[in-house]
Amino acid sequence: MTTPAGDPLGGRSAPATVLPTFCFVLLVSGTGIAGQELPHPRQMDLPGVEVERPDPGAHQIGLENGLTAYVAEDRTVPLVTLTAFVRAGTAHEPAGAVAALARAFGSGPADLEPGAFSGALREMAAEYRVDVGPERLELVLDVPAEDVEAAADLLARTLRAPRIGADDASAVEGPPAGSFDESLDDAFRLFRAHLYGDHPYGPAGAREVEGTLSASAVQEAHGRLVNPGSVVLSVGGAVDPDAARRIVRERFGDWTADAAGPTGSPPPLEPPADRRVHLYPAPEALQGWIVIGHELPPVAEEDAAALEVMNYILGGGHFDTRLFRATRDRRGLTNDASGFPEALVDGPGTYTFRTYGRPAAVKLLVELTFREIERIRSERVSEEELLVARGALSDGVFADRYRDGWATARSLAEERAMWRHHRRSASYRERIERVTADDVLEAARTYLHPERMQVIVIGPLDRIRSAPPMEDERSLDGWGPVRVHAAPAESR
Amino acid sequence: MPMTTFSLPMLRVVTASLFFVAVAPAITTAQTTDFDLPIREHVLDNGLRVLVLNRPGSERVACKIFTDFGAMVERPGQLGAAHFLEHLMFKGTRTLGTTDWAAERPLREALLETEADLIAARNGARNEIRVREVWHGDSLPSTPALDSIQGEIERLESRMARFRDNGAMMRWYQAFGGTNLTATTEQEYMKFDINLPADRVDLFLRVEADRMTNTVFREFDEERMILVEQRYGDLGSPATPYYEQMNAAVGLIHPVFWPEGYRTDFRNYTRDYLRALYDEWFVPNNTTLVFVGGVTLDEIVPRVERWFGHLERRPEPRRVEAVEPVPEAERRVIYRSDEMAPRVEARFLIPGVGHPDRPRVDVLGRVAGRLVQDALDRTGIAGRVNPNTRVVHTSRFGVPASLNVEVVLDDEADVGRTLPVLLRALETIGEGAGTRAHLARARKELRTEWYRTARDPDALAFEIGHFQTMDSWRTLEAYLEGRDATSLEDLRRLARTYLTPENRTVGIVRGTGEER
Repeated sequence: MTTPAGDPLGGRSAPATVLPTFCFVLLVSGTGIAGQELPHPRQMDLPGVEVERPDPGAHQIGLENGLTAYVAEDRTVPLVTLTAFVRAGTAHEPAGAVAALARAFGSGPADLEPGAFSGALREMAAEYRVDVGPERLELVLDVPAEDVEAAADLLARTLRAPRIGADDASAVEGPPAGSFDESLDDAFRLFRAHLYGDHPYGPAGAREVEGTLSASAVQEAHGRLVNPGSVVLSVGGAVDPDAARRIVRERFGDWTADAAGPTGSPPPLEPPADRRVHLYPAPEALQGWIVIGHELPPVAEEDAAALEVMNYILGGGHFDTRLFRATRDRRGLTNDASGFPEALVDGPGTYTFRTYGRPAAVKLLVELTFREIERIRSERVSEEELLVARGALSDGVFADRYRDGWATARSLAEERAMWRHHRRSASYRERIERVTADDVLEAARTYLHPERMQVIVIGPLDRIRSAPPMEDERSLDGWGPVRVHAAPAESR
Repeated sequence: MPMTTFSLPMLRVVTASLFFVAVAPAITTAQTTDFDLPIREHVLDNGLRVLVLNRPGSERVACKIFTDFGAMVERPGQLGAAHFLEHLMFKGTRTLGTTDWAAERPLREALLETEADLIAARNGARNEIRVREVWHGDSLPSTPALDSIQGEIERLESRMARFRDNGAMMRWYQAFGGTNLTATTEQEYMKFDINLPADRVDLFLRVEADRMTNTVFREFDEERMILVEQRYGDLGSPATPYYEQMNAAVGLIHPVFWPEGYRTDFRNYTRDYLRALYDEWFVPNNTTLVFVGGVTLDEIVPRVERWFGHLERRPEPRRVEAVEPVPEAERRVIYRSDEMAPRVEARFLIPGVGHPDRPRVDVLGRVAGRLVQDALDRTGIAGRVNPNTRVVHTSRFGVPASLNVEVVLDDEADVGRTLPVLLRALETIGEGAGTRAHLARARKELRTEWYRTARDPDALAFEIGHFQTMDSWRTLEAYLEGRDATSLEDLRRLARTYLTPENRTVGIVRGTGEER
């Protein structure tokens, strides 16, 4: 979609009150712009931007066994990235199986000793990683172009028949119950434990799996969950498309499986019905780490754009969010305060707000987070905020996803793996451009429920709770019933 | 949703940070199999340098503005000031970040006068506020008079707060499709970065010309507290004090080894000092613009002239005069920590970028890492070797820094026997250990890492600008080729030259209990 030239923000004009009270009109001369005659960016007449999402059909390979792959050539540098997305994750049964599979994928194929696998990757100067989440696995192998055939061979053998050892099966998932580190990551992990309980979408550590899995059970799960129908590949970089097609066919064309991946819907989640505060002591810590949030159900396509715009304005991980301005810019309370709507496809994700700061600032950080959440739920965002968010998402974030061949192959494959279609990317810019202030307000009221958010704080609780108020913030008890958890028995 | 990652550890020298790259459709330029860097340069009459690496077909541009200025210019008591200045340079200018500059300006002038009173009062009270305690805390002594002046400063800032328009500099970048907005200050450079659609690069030129000349230091004390928070975050890693102690032992006097600042330094910052730094160093003849992506030099020069051409060349900023003295004796640091994994490491001073040995040291580090790992494995010591050239956060400098060979151990009981194994393995390099296979692998690793950098326009633009501040952008390609051309004889010579006892600093980390 092309935004009109000369009016890059879609022809909408912001109310005059949001502009600075002075606004120099630029008179461009051949000798350049004098120091003070700097126009406001909105007066610069910047051209519109065309962002074309590549045609998935032009990059797609479909095998007879149901496996799909996307190839995008890019010869900027002689590197190739091979990625396998598997539509199966830690939420799928049996509990712990996919986490065990992820560990197995890290060890390489069954017909190769782990040392030989890692040695082969080292010889190629490869970068290899395996990521696992509730609904998917991802194997990423980045190699010099000269090694693509060998790399594809290793990846295919690993994916189709990983080395599953007794250790992989029996390893305890996650840290010991009740233990935590002094970090935002662990505050989030504890939040997830409180939110999900024993729900299969919860953190692996919430479920005791030690000793309950056998290698054969993991093997069976592999056969059922990892098969041509549940895998989407991407091949991006310095490889000829015809060669890439041949590589995919040669290594995956004969792959058959009776099963078709995970079946059934996840069980419903019964999230906490009211707001609670969970405090975890870290007496020697210099800061407190805060996570506030609740579950996020799968987001309907018609709501996705408004939710994204809303979060961009509220806490979208950049320097100009409402949370950033309130906590960092104006008060110097924290280095970061951001919102993370992490929606999934089938089951419940999370929507959290995360921040951290010195003990004296923790209560005010909690207060300001809730205050901004309430504000966006009760007042329309400004036209300027809307314009900025739309431009950032449409002309920036979306454009980034197809910035080069590597990103294009990956983005197309990932979308196919999770959604089974490409409608979302096809309509993304249009949907973002259509979002109104009323839509943002509706999204905030639909997807933000501060009255039942869980508040997790790790930090020096005595100093946090006894600190005098910096402004008019409530004590932590003012947000709901407080539970002080025990300090970890041992640190990890 | 959180993802758990299982990765194979890879020996890797830390180079530039990775940022997201610009958008581009699938492109089919000629495959690059060497280090060809078609960078084009133009220098304005006022000394501003423009470097462009065009990527035909790319619709976005990684834009960076580098200033040849960093923590090395700081003075003791004001460490971290360069980084703090970067923070302040996000607070806006006379045209962005304020709702009424005409009303704000006189308050700013009054503020600066009041701060001048504060500085004079501090100087006059030097014997009253001098820190004499060894085990001092973070706060600095004060007097009622100083507190009174500080209170007036805070009142003035509070009055100015109503004119602020927070986030204005970032907002309009983002509104017009900007991504990867960030900034970094290290020992030798400060840079501001943004990725923009190619047709909107003028926005970068407008904003950065403004930032370079019209920055207003808003929310000074609030931003000072952000440095405190960042410092707390650093101290949250148990390794931070250890690394600072190691750097202090490796380098006797050169500021490249100094830390990012202590909380006592943060309390010393004044607008006056920061302004002096800004006025001296942020001048066109000390600045480089770097563009990687869908623009050409011919397209960009007239636009740069339009926005920066009116700026006048200023006196050259002072150079950093410190020279690290020639080392005379080995140093050792014994660090006790129950939170860090036990470790043994050896650090060696190495030459800066621009010296012909420096690229070859990268290869030496890789080969050394492999040989040390093999030696540990043969001896039955469970540990992981991490060779790197990092000082604070950066891995390359235009001045001497260090090659670090770290061994992180599984068992503290191995600390005692690891050091001789480590040192002996390093000695063997000078004696001829190291095979063509080691060399080939090291070269391939470094070459592949370079390709990963070059794949990413942001990372590539960083390297170009960083080399300009360390030495010259023209030497980047030669640096890469120098690594590729390293021979076994080079390794032996480098080992005999640099991996010597008097050039060595040893670090040992063990727990607080009895030594086993």
